[in-house]
Amino acid sequence: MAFSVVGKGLPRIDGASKVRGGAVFGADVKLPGMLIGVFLPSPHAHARIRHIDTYRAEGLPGVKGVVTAQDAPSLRYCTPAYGPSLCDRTFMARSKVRYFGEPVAAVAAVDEETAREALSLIAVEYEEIPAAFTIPDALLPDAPLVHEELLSYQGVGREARGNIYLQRSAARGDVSRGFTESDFVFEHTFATPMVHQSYVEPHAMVAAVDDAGRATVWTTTQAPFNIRSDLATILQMPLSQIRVVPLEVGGGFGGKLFTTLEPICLLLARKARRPVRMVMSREEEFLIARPRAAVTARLKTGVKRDGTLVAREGEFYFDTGAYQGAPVSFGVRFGLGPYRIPNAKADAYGVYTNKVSAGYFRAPGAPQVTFASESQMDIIARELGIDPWEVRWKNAWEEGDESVTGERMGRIGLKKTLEEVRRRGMWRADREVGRGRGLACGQWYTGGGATSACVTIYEDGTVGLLTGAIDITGSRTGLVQILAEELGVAPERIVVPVPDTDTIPWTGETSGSRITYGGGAAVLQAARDVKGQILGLVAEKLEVSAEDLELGGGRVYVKGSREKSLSLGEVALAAQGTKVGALLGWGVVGRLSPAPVFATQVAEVQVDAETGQVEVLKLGGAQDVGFAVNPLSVAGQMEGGMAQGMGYGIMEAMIFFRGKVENPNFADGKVPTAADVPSMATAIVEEPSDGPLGVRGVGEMPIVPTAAAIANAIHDAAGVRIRELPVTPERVVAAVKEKRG
Amino acid sequence: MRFEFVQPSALQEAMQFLASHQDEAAILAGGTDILVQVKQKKRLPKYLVNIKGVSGLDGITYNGQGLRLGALTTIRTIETSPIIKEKYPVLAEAAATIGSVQVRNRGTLGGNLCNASPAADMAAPLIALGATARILGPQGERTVSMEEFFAGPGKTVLGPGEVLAEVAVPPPSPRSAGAYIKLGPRKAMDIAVVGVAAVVTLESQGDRCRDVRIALGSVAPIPLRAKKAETVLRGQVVSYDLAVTAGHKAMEEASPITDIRGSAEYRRDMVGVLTRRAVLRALEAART
Amino acid sequence: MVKQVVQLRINGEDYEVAVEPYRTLLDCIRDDIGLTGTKKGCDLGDCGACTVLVEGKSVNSCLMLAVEAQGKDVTTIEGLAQNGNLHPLQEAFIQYGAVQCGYCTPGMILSAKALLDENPHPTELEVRQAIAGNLCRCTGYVKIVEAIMAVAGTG
Repeated sequence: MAFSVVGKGLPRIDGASKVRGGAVFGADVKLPGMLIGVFLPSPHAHARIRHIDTYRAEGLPGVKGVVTAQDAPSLRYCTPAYGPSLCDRTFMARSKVRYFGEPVAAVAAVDEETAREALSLIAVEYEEIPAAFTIPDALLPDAPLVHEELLSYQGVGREARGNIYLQRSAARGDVSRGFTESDFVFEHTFATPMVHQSYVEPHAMVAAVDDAGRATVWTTTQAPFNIRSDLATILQMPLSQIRVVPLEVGGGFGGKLFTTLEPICLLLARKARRPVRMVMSREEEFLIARPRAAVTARLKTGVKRDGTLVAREGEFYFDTGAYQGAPVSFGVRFGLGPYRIPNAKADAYGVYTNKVSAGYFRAPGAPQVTFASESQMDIIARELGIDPWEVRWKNAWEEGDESVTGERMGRIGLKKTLEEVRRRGMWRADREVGRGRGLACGQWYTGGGATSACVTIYEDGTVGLLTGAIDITGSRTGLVQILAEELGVAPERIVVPVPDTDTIPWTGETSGSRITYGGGAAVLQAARDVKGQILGLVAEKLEVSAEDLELGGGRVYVKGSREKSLSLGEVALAAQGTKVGALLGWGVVGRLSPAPVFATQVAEVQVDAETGQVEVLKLGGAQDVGFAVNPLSVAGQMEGGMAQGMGYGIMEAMIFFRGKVENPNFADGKVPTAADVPSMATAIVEEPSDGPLGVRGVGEMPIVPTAAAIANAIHDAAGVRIRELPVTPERVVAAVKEKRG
Repeated sequence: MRFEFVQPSALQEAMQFLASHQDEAAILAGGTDILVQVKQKKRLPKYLVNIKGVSGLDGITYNGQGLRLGALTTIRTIETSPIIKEKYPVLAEAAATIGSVQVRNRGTLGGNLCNASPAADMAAPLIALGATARILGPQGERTVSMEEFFAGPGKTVLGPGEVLAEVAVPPPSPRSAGAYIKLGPRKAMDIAVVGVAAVVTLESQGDRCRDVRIALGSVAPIPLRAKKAETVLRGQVVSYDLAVTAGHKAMEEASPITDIRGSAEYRRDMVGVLTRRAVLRALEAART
Repeated sequence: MVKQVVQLRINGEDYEVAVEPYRTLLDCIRDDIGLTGTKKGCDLGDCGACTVLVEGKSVNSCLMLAVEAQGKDVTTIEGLAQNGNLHPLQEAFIQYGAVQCGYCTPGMILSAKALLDENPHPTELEVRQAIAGNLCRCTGYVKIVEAIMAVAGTG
């Protein structure tokens, strides 16, 4: 099919407002009489709260409100959309604190200095209790319990015990027989650290309550409807009394899916009877936002001499921190790799520790377990003397193959991505001294949450698109392209205001790389709906059959006769005088079946064996995107994902000492700068899915294999295998020393 | 962040204020360190004394006596100054490793030195170049060699009311050159995990090393001169192996600690590697 | 605390604001003057989102006090477009896909402008060094570097 708008690398429709500095982010909202809110972080990782005295803080001039957990109903909540529905969370610490930084009280005052001074006047009496800081600590038989009453929580599963709150398992075949039948069996343990998403915009929000008690919360979020439902639950308010207005998201990567300070901000606004703004400092971001979980993975793999996988068993321990939220089930789903394994078993555990609560970060769970599984694939290839590419090729999934969780592959592009990295010369045999090349495959999926969309035609022929789908990747531009294509209008004739929870029906959060997929389906549906109305009306006016009409250039034509036409504006105007009234199309799609996504990446590195410094010289990736609605945007997602994957590979980590984050800033909580990121090559593979236009999710996939590809390249260059991320210079030097004996 | 802002218009006035508010006042030069420390509550001065309005603390001059750098000279100026790039490239090289362009546009030489971080990137090359600090104070003027300027982490020899006015660098000897090597996880924006500066001067003829000065950053409570390592090299024709030996001596002289940026063991090892590399690189440059 | 009156020239317009001595130029520009295109990402000089030009030089406005900007000429992102026409860097950032979330964009463009004003034909390495103080978490910098190089090529 020939397209005129989709498939083209159109610049982002929001580009102009962003380069002018006019795009409105959370911290840009300013209301008359607005106060500044700040929270008091816990100075202990695990302590009982004996008493909180806010009297002196309340008396400080300029302070307009102080709140603690006592100001809201006593309850534990969870956000159902993010399953499992284990309600273990409180919006503020009530009877005890479970991690360093956990909000204990909050103040609203006329300015930030006054508010912070007031915090110092709040007296909290703590009783410190023993804590569990790491997975091994937490799994000891007599480990301190992060949640003593776990078994009484709503939604707790039967597998819960001690500090293990969740277990997910899957198996096929018989792994012990598989290991017996293998020529070689490999067993390794891998570890990955907690890592912050490090979006440049910190969480920011403003809450206001009107005279009738109705609340509005402006916030930077990927999930306005989930925030609305959390607020209703936490503060026991009717849903209809809360409006959540999503603003531009200055980087989310999963970190802005969750309710953070919104309930506190709203409580402060209610108490002070004035609007309140809360913006996290960078340090607070590291203390209380929701980073990627640390994972310890044990993998045991049996292979034939020729590299054919016979059996693989994986155990994945997710360190969720103080509250549930680690993507445990994805450990099972993605932990064994995208390979045909007749005998497979995967068990993943969610473990509480006294650290900040983990959440989702771009392809949650997958980069952690993929580092393990793809590092081990590399080890296997090298031990067997087979090219790492060949080992993947031999075992890679094809149509009809089934995963350990029973997911049956339809048409998939995994092998095409492998072919592509070789065809483009990203994966080559030649090498120089001190340099190395590493390969890794990865898998992810396209989520299928519900989306609402509404399309209307204005009297001047411009088109309005309303959708609840929050744009974090440029998806708005893609949706506009899909709509423009369907209606035969120029993309710049389409306006896309960002609606709030009052003005658009329920729409799921932006996660799982799903917007162009599910959102695209909703927009197509709405476009076809309004198109039907347009054609019906024009057919009547021009006295022709609707089948004889076509849309293009903002007009409706009679096929074959270009003279007989009406502009969309004329149609909209005409509609006003008829029974139709207004041209309005609706599209609502429910949960779609997920479409699998695959990528293969190659890293080239140079290793200074003396200092351990790794320079990433090149990154190349091939990714199956189904259909690239906007190739420019797809390449941008791939480059951005690989850069984050590179950071994960060699520098990013939250460093803890007894539960406290020791590097809560960008000076020591490092992410790559422009000077560190190499040039990148991207290859787009298009193996269509069953979704709209055949698209597959794009945004999350590219971060998945990068760290493993880099670690494999380091091995290629320096002969050392680092099984713990990040691969710091110090770890490389230690490994080189050990190897030399 | 709360403080009062004091803007003296003359040095005398600044010194008097600093002398009478010793524990309560801090100097604001470029602000790239002090404002961070105040925001992070690592320092809570009651008064911030802005000395940018004071004359005579700025500017670069170069003549037969060498180079004079006013304390308020920005890092960016040092990085881009044609005369520094020509006569003391190691200084420009070190300046370029600090923070970002934005930080270097504001940050000053005096600030980098008086902040007295063991990792201060300007300290090691200045020590290696044999620079001196001209200090002005209520009791008058004194001169201290750069290696004696630091007293501990965050501490200098500046007494009550004293201000670093200027850094003087002797004229470069013929057949001499320097090198500064900084180790950090990134190629920009990093604080040195280890930094080593070496300045080598060759005899007027041949390959014998007439003089050498080596300084180490981030591996002791202060930026440290590695005198034992220098002794290994001075008067010798420096081979690779001799540079290795000098590196080992420097490792003995260092007393690094373990922190989130690196372990003591790694730092000590890197002193050996970087000392060797800096010496060899300086040697190579001195030959040409 | 007693406020001080500061005169600033921002994007060619004169402003007079009363600020506390500890008020940063960033907070002053955003909250007192109301130009919110300048962003706060870390408030410690580590991310560059707050980059503005002071007398033509790029600075982190979070590490400069408003009182230090007395009498100074300040350029923020809002001052780049002339007579409604975007600056070539702004155009290039849109066309090359250098904008994703847009939060680092204003500071990034100003760092690029400072570079090109000083060095109209930089190498790729020089571009990367010049923007190393501006963290971008979305793009991987590839398209940002391309956009800046494109403007340099035509400049």
